[in-house]
Amino acid sequence: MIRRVNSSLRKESGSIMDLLSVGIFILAMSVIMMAYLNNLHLMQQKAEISQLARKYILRMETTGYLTGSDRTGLLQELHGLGATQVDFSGSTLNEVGYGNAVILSIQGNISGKETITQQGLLKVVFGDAAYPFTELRMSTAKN
Amino acid sequence: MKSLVKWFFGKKEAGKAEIIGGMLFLSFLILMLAVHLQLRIFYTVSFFMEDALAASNLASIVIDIEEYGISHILKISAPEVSYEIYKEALKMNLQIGADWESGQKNLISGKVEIQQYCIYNVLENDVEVYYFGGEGSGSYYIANGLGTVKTPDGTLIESTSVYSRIGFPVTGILGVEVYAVKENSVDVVSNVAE
Repeated sequence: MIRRVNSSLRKESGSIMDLLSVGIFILAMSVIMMAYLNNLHLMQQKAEISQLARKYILRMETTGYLTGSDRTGLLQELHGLGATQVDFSGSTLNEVGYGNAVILSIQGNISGKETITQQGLLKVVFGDAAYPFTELRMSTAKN
Repeated sequence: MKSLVKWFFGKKEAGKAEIIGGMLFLSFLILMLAVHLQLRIFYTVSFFMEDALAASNLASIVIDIEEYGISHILKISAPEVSYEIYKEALKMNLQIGADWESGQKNLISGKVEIQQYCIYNVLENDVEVYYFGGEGSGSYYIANGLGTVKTPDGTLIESTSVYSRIGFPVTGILGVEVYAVKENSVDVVSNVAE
């Protein structure tokens, strides 16, 4: 009985190495895929914020400034996209006359994952990270 | 070289073939993802530039309100002022500095150049054209030009419009630099022309 258990526990030579190499490749692939998907997600978020900025600069053309209700709406939509620490400083917040410049300036952070490798590939951590963004749009008031 | 080929194609020890195969697959995967990411960046840059160009064209349209009140003609009566507004708006919308260079070299790798900026004032059936940019500046008048005059991107002039074309270098895959050109026409009445 003991002999049978011993024989079943004995591994073929090289099988541990094969298993280890497969494990390392799977780990490396996972890291690469996660980094890739994270980059793609960040680009998508930035594109959506740009579209939002476009929408609001067109409104500002009509009103001549970023109105209080538009500011609240924009802030809510930005939070919905995952933006944090949003700041509109530099934007036109007081009404300007026809033909004058209107500026929409949005600064903030978008959250994503950061790949941190320690001790080579043996310890890989995906930590939360904040990536700063700036969105600038300029037009002229058509009010 | 011969030994390298022999090593690569020769008979492997048990387990080594899997490692080499895995490394090749991993390299291929990295290459594919890098190419896809680069194409995605190109697409994003292209969309971003088109958007900024259209927004800058739109910003530069400052109609003479007094003229409109008198004759109901939509006319850009200060072309030089409009061109200055266009330049300022373009710099801000593209987020580039006063030297026309972008801070983000992974998007626009060099100087942005305004190749052409044109204003088409429609005065009843006539078209008055002002042009600025690389070929210098000037103006000309086309009598009965309404319905026949087209912008360089092929948009038919039906009402007062603005056209502009910019060029800029983009660094692509493996560091290859490509010179890209973007153009856009904006109509005062129907806004952005596709």
